[in-house]
Amino acid sequence: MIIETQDLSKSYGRVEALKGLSLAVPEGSIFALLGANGAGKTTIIKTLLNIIEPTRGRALLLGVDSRAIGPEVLAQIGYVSESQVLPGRLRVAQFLDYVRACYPRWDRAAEDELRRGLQLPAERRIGALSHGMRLKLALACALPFRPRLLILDEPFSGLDALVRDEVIEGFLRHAGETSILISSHELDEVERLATHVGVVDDGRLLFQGPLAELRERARPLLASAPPGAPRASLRDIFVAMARKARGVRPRAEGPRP
Amino acid sequence: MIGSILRKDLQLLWPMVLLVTLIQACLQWTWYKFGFFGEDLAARELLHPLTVAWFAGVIGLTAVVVQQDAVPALDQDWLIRPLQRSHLLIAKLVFVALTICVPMFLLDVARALATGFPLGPALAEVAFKETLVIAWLLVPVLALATLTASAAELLLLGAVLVGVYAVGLSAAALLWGGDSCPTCNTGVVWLQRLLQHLGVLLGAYTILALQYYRRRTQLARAVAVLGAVLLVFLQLPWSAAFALQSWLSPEPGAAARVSFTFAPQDQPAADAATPANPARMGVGRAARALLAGDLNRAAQYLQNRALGNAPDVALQLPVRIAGVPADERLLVDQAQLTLWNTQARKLYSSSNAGPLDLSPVASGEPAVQRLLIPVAFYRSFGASPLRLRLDYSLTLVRLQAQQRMPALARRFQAPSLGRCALNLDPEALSMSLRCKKLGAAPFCLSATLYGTQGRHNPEVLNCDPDYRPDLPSLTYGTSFYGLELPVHDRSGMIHYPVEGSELGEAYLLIRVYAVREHFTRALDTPIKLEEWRAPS
Repeated sequence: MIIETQDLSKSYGRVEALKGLSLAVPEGSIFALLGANGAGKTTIIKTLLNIIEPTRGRALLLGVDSRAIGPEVLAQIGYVSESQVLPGRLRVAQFLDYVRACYPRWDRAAEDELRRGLQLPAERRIGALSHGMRLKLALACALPFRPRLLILDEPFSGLDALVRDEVIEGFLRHAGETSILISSHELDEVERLATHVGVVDDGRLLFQGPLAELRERARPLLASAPPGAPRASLRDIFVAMARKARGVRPRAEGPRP
Repeated sequence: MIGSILRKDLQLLWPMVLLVTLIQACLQWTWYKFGFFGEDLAARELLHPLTVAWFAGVIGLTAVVVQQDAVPALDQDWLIRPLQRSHLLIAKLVFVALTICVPMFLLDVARALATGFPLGPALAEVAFKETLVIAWLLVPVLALATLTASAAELLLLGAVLVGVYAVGLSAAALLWGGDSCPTCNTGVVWLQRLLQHLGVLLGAYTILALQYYRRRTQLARAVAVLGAVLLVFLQLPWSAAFALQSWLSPEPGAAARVSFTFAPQDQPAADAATPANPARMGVGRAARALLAGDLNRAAQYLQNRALGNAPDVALQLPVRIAGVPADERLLVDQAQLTLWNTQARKLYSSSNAGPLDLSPVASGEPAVQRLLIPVAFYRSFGASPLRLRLDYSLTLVRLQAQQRMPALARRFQAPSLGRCALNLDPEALSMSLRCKKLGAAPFCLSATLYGTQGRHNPEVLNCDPDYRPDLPSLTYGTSFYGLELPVHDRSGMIHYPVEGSELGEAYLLIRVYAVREHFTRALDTPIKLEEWRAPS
């Protein structure tokens, strides 16, 4: 497993953001962490990266306890987040120069290719970039060192369809053998990518496993679907699971077309 | 990696670096143009605002560079980069050293050279000053900046810390009065300040370690608040401070022959003047004293007001002092008064007994020790036989150097004084002596204006005990000091033997005194207070 958590819990005062979560992400998988806003996805990722410390339990990242991860481990992890703060006064090229120096295995040719592919303007200040461009820049910083693990935290949030496609294409083309953990509530995009899925709701893990297994597992929840209806989408499965977890009766109308 | 972080920060902050360097250059230029007497009006007007701007700029730049990679935030880019945290911290320190200290060093040296000081000593003195600026100002600011993610947060934290410190000061003043800071307004206060600076530095390193290696912002903020409280309440007791100062005396045993004895047969003449009584003064006076930096007096006002203290009764005791050589002087650092009854029960104690007037000693008369006793105590015990003990903390100073200068010399220099200038005011009422010196300024100097045929004006003595070794100011590398000599009284009440019209042939004798030994003496005697009451 490239990521493993055991009984991972995090509290902010009386609020429990994570409630004894045990997660296992197989190496080589594209693992989608699904959950509504506030379900705890970002808390999981920040705990994995030792940005916040768990209240209880532990997380292993590339076999190393998250509390002890240092530069050697971080040098193998690419990270893209919608909320990542980038230095707005720097130009794109200056920021890439800075990031490049952090990674001993940086591939300059891959960087150039990404920069061209993602159409990043080298002389533009980061503060003048659009949201989508900033995400592309973050991606251009996360891939050229060929990370073993790529963590994407809500990478599609606020992007229009065209830019989403460019971003997805960008990391699919360059990710190679990289394991990917992607957290999102944009289920349609995730469905195109994920091999494995973890469903989080209210700090608890409702399901984890291959996408096919999730569909199998979710069938009883979607039993009311009329015969001949199209296959249930990930969105429908997620909604049904979340409703069940919250004790809400399943909807009778079945999957959306 | 340090170089990359440094380059990134420079790319981000070069406009601010430029601005701060400009402020530093303007401040140094203003200091230079200020000269000895503030001859340049613009320089005189600009000096204060530029000093404030210098502090704001230096503190702001230090804080902003730390906040480029803020520690408490959760979305900062550096958190997910494979950076050694020690590299990040070193990069910030190097940035501060390069962008603040190096320009400051060069500008300070340039000004010292322009003032006329030689290169070697100027380099050494300025380097020492920059080290202090880093240790006492920039590292603590850097540490505080790691507790916040924005300028607004830093301002809020600063306000909280200042508030905690002010509340602590007020509480200490009400609880302990003048004793809340036993060394304040004395020559040994530098030991307390040094202790505080070292404490702040230790606190800063603790915060930096907690933040960069553990990211424990709440704990580190608690350390900062605790530090603000300790700054008020951790005070060096007078006995310990003076013992340490005595141990540092340059000539131990030099004062062995100095003796103090109570001389009841030499009762001093009645003196109608009674010093201003702090108990009569209210909160307004306390506020003014605080603004003037006189914490002891402010505390005394507040305490007297809080306790509803009545006015004091003044006593005068004759004290015979022997063993002080003619060219040496005695400075009283503190006189502690204790009164016991005949059963050896302590009835009263004060760390500030009152002033000891040493002027009669020169003519062979006993010195006069004035004591201020609370009126309630005096009413109860004034007629009772008591035992009085006065514990003196004293400093013997010797003549270190003297310099004879024509009274109208405009500029001169001397090793013990530095580079000096004399100025007669346009109405020929007084002369001003101002000196600039690399290293510590003499804390005790006198000047006497001599005319022809040996006539001379009264000696003007400026002894403001400050026993610190060379610890320069943070804003400029040279010491600046001086004194005023009156030469004419417009009202005609005082006649000066050497007046303005004779200055062409007159000369000035400047004497500089240096410490020989810090030592203690005690007076212990039976007494009835009413027998020594000073007439009011």
